[in-house]
Amino acid sequence: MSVLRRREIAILFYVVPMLFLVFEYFTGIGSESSSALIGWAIILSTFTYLIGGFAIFRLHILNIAKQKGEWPYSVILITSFALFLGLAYTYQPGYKWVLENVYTPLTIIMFGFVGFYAATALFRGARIRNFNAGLLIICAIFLMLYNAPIGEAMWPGFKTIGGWLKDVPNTGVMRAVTIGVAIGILATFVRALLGLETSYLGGK
Amino acid sequence: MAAEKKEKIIKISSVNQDRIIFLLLFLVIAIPMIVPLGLPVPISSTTSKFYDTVEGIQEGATVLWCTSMGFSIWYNTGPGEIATFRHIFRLVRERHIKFIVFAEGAEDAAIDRRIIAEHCDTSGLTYGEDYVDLGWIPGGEAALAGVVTDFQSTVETDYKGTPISQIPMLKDIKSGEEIDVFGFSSGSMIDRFMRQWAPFRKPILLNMIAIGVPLCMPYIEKGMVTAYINGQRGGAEYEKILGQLGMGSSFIDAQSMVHLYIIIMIIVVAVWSINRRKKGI
Amino acid sequence: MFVVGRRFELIVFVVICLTMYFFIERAKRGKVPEIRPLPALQALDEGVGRAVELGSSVHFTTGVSGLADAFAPQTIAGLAIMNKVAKVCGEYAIPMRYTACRSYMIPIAEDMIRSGYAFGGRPEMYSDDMVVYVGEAQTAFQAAVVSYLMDEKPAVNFMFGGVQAEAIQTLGAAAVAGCMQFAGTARMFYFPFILCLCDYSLIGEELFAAAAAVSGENIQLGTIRGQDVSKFLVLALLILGIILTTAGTALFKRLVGW
Repeated sequence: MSVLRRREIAILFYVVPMLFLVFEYFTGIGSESSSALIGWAIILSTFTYLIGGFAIFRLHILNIAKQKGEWPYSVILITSFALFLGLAYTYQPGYKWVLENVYTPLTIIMFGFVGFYAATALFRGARIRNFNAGLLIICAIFLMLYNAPIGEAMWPGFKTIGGWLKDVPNTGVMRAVTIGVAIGILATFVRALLGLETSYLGGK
Repeated sequence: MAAEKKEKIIKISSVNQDRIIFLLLFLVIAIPMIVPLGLPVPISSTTSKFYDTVEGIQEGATVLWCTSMGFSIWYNTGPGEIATFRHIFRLVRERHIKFIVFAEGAEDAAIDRRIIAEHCDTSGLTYGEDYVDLGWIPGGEAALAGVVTDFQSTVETDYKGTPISQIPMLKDIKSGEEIDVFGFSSGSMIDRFMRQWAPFRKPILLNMIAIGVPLCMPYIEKGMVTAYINGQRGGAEYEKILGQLGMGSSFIDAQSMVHLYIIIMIIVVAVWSINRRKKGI
Repeated sequence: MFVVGRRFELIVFVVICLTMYFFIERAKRGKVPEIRPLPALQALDEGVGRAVELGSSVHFTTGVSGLADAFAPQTIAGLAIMNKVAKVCGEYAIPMRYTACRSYMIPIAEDMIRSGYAFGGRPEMYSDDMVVYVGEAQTAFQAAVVSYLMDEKPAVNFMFGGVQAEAIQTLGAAAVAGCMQFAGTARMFYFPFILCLCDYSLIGEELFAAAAAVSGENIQLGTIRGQDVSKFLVLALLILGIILTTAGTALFKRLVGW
């Protein structure tokens, strides 16, 4: 048992499939095994949802048992979860009603707040402290008017300039960011290969 | 007295400033929705290209579409998604195109079912022969990879639980080679779709949230993404081209007004900050 | 043996990996590259000090992204910074809270914070309640974090990692709640919000450099240098491609498609 708990075993499980997939990508050898590995990854990812569900239940049941913090909300959460799950398997129209009239509006509301906070962010941050900040704000205005139909209706130049900003400088920068991210991922790959990347094992 | 009053007006607490901003924003969104302004919606070249690409799908082709947006951005990418589905279903009827739909997230599976049931005309079409909904395929990028490398092993049933061996239109689908057109909607980075699907060098259609389009430009500019819909505006334009106005068209006035409001706010704040700097505050 | 069209890719891949390996080994042998001072790191003490003055707490999150997606390197960097923040909190005897959106982050975060407080000299201050898991959904995470920030009004809000849309809400709510804010991500999407709403920020590669700097590990610093040199190699390749293509030859295209 102690052998299985050794970090080296976990690192092997992490590194060997990664190496195999890279090998298959460049040589084309072992495509079927590679597909099988991807299938296993899909199955494992499904299990993480179970872990998530278990963790949520554990947390909130403990809250209720110890009557800790806002434990009435934990009761509501577990009741809602059980009700929703029950409806999904026993009464489809009810499940659909809850999904369309409760879950969807709540989800959309949470995302709707983003707009309000974005307005706050702009209000606090849109100050022309220097040339770069001023240039940023001017570009933002052109891009916003490019995206809104009223911009083009006001003056066709907004579409032209906004489109150019999107297609030329933005694309160049995004390419650079994409390359940077890819190199960052390669760095993680090399560190994992050398057994230096152990954050997934927790702590130092 | 006037100077004192002016001083007081300037010193609105930050909490109240936020409240004023939020209230004005709410009014700017709500009023155009209640009283449509009828602002013009010019059709952009990107939406025209998307329409032309879909319209150009050959007879008997197989289209694979992945919904990956979630309910949270429904009002941004939903109009484009509905319009795309309507367009493709028309082609399914006219040109016997095979339409395969699946979802990357659990919420997206519900979105697909909702769009097909409430917004698409499936009369005269046979489920399993003309179109199929595979439901949610978990795994993220692994699922996207699995669908195009070993379809039969990755996808075992459709959303109803029917084994795909019993679904006539899926019998010959082994990998991405059998797919003629790929398409997907997204609310975030599209790198994973490009990594898995671009190597097949087939047309790829994209329904993207507006804020994400600049991030996708490297792929769009290179032609890896053949055509895209630009968020809510693109959805409204697509509805106009199809002649079936819907959600996108009803919200486009509000979108224009919000953009104007934000721009006016930015200009006011910028001018105010320059003024304060000049006064040495 | 190799797939056609991927041979050049393999060469670039191997060269970049070897470059990283070279600089990691070099750093192990003591030739550690220097990283310029990062204001966000230098101000960590100031931030936690604000919590001492206000008698408040510190909130930290790495966002919705975890260790199983393309943003894993950013989450890892965020965890390294969290370890440092926990150490500083231990030194100043300030409670901190970490909000997790992935269940597998719980044991990792618990370990990081526990060891941070131990290094800070206050291992007894740590409790498992410091790590709060709010479910896998982004909207649930947003609701929980915004609620916490508005109710508890911690003195400082830290947000480092591969953040997604929750960054806008979290940072906005923290700004409204009056928190001092530190944030960092390599996700360009969210740079504007971080720059507008935060007192100190780390954008792009600064996040990885900061993680390397706080870890103090030579290997991390060597990796940063390796990445920088790799970028120069890619840049050289790009320039070569531009010159060859502009000159009208199809050589570069043939090379890339080899």
